[in-house]
Amino acid sequence: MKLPTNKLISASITAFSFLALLALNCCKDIVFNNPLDPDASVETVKIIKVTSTTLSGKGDICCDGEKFWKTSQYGSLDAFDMESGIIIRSVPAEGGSGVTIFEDSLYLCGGENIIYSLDPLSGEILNRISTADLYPGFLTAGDNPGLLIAYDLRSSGFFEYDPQSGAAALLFQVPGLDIGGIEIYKGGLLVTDLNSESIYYFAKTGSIINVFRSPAGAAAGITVDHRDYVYLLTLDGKLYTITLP
Amino acid sequence: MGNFIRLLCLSLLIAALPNVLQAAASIHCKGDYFLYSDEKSYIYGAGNITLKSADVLIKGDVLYLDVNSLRGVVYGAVSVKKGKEKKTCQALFFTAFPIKLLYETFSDKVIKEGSKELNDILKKYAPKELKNLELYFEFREFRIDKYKKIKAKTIIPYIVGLPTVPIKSFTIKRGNTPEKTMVYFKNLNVFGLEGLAVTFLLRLRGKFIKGDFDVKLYEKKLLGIDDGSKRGILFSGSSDLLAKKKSFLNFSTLLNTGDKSYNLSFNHRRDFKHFNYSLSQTVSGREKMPAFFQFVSNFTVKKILFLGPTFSFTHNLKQSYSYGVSTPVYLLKKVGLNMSWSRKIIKENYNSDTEDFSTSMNFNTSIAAFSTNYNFSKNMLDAAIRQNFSANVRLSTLNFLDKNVTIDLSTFYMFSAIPSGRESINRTSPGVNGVMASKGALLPFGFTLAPSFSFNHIWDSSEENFTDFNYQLALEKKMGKFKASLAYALASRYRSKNFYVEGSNTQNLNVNLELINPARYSFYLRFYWNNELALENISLSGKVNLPAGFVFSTLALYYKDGSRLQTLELFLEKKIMHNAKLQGGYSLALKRFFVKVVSF
Repeated sequence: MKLPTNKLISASITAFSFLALLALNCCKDIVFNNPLDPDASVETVKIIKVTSTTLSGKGDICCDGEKFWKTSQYGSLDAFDMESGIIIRSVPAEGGSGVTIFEDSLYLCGGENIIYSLDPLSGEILNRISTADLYPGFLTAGDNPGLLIAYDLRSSGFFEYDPQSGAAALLFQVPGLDIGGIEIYKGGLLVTDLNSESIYYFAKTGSIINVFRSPAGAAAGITVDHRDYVYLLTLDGKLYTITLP
Repeated sequence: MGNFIRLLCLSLLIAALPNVLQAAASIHCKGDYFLYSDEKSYIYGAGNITLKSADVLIKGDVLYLDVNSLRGVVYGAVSVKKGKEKKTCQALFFTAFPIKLLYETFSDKVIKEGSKELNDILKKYAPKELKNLELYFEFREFRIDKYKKIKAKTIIPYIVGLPTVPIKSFTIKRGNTPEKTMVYFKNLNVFGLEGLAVTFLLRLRGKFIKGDFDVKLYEKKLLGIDDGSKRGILFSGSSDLLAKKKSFLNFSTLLNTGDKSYNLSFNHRRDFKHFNYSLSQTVSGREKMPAFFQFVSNFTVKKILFLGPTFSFTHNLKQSYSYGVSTPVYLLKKVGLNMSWSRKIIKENYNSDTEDFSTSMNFNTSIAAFSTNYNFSKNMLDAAIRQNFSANVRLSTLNFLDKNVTIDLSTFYMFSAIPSGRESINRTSPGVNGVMASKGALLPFGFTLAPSFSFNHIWDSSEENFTDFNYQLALEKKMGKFKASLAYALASRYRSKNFYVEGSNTQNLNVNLELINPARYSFYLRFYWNNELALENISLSGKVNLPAGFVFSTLALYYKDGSRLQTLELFLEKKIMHNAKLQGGYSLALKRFFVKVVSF
C-alpha cells in the first residue's frame, strides 16, 4: 500500500503549499510596502516572471522585437518565444558568444576578429566582416545610430564599432569580469558577470551607475524588451524577467 | 570594377546551372520506362533494360535499384557480358561501385554463382508505391555515379501525381559532394536582405592540399537594396597544406570586396608525446585602415610532476604583447584544481596594462559537491584591483516518496571587491538556496496538481539581507490529444528591516491549451494574466504538416493593452528534392517576407 500513502502525503504537501501560498498573498498589503517606512519607496530588483527553456550553457541573448535569439558555442542559433520559452527555430551558425539585432540583421561574434551578419528570417549568413584588431566576444546595438558596442577580448574593453567603416573607439575597460552578456539600457550598458553573479550597470564613460546582485544566480545572457523589462537567461536555461530600479 | 563584378556574378550564376546538371559517367542505363522517387531514393525500370558499366553489359526486363545503398537487381531473361565472358540467369543482384554480380537461376532450387557474399534480399517497391509520393520522375535513360548523382534524359516530372513540363535532360538527384577538386553550386537567393546572391563551394582536394571555400556573389543594387555595398564577392573558408597526409599548415581566408576587408590566418600545430605547441599568424585589415598583425604561440607540457602547464605569448607588430601561464594541478585524483596567470600590455592608440590571476577547485563526494573560485585582476596603470571569491556546497538531491518529492539545498559564500573611481566597493554575501518540487497529486476527474517551491536567502554586508521565494502551482488535465493547464506563479522578495519585513511580490497566471498530434500538427494557445491578474497577452504557436509535404508554422502574440498584434510570423517549408528545400516566410515585426531555395 505504498502508493496510496505517497499520494496522500503528496496531496497533503500540495494542500499545505496552497494554503501557505494563500496566506502569503493575503498578507502582502500588511507586511509589504509599509508607508511608514522611510525606505519603503526604495526599489530593488523585482522578479516579474520565471520561464523555463531547453537552452542551456553560455551564450548571450537578444530580442528582435518578436522573439529572443540565443547564441551558443556549439554552433547553433536558436530563436525562442519570450513568453513561453518554446524554441521557434534553430539555424546552424558559427559557434558564438555574442549576438545582437542591428539594422534588421542578426550580428554574431565568437571571440575572433570576425563578425557575422545573418538574416533573422532565414538564418542565411549575409556577410562576414573582418574587425582587424578587435576580437569581439559580445555585441549589442549602440544607442548611436549605425554603431555597435563590442566587448573586445584582447583588451577587455568596450568599443563603439562602426561595421560600415570599421572604425572603433574605446569607451572603457573592465578587466577581471567573466562576462555572460551585455545590453544597452537607458543610455548605459548592462553587463552580467558570472564570477560575482552580479549585473553591472555602467555609464558609457565606464563609471558604475549601480551593481545589482543577479536574482537568477549566474546569468549567461541578458537583453531588454520594448517595455524596459530586463531578461536574464541562466546557464541552466531559466529565463528571468525582472525590472531594475 | 562594379560592372566587372556584376558581369562576373551573372556569368557565374549562368555557369552554376550546367554545374548543377553535370553528370559523372559511371553506370549508364537505358530502357522503355524508368521511375524514380526522390523520397524513397529508389529507381524502378521495366522493358528492354540495358545497364552498362566499364566492361560489364547487362540486359534484362525489370530493374530495381536502391540508390542509397547502390544495390540493385535485374529480373527476366538476364544476359551478362563481362569482358569476353557471357552468362545468362533469371535474377542478377549487383552492387554498383565497385560492381559485383550474383547470378541466380531458378530450377528446383536456387543456383547461385558469382559474388556469393552479396545479399540477395532487397526491398522492392512496386511502381504504384513510388507513384503515391509527392515527387517522382519518369524517364527512359539515366546515368548514376558513385556519389549517387543521377542525370536522366527524356523526363517527365510529376508533382503531387500531376505531370509537369517534359525535360530533355536533368539531374534528378544531385548526390553527395564528391571528394575532389571542383566548383560546386550551393544555393541561390533572390529575396531577402542580400538581393540576388549565388554561392559556390570551391573544394580543393589534392595530395598537398585539402580545403573548402565559399564564394558568394551578391548584387543588391539591381534589386533596389541600398545599404552601402551595392555588389560584391565574399570569399571565405579554410584549407590545410598536407605532408604525409597530415596537416602541417592551416590557413583560413576571408576576403570581402563589399567592405574591402580581409582576414588571413595561418596556423601550425604539432603534437608530440610529452608536449605540443601551436603557432598562429593573423593579418587583417580593411580599406583606409592600417593592417593588423598578430602572432600567437602556445606551448604545453603534458605533465611535469603534478602540473601540465601551458605557456602562451602573443605579440603584434606594434608594442602590444601578452604572456601567461595556466596549469591544471594533479595533486589529488578527485580534486580538480586549475590556476592561471596572465599579463596583457597594449600600446596602440590607447594604453592598457592588466594582470589577471585566477584559480578554481572542485570535488565531489557522495553527499555533496564543493566548488570554489578566486579571480584577481589589477589594472597596472591606475592600480585598481578587482577581486572575486566564491565557494559553493551543493548537497546531493534528497528524494522522498519514490522521488515524488525532491529537495535540493546549497549554500554559498561570495566576496567581491569592485573598483569604483578611486574607491573599492566590497561586498560579502553568504547565502542559502533551496528548491522543493513535487510531481504532484492526482485529483478527482483526472486532474493533476503539481507545486514547486524555491527559496534563496542572502546575508549581504552592504545591502540588507533578503530572501527570494518562487512558488509555482500547476493544475493539469489531459484528454487524448488535448491538454489544458492552469499555472500560477508567485515570486516574492523580502528584506528584513528592524522589527518587520519589507518587500514586494509579483504574481502571474497562465492558461495553456495544447493540441498535439505529433505526426500532423501541434498548437499551443496561451493566455497570460499579469501581476494585477489582468489579461496581458495571448499567444499562439503552431505547426501543421500540410499535404504535398508542406510544413506550415506560425507564431502570433497579441497584447491586450493597446489591442495590438505584437508578433505575427509565418513560415512555410517544403522539401522539393532529396537535398533541397523551398522556404518562405513573413515577419510582421520586420515587415518583410522571404522565399528561397536552400540545399542541405
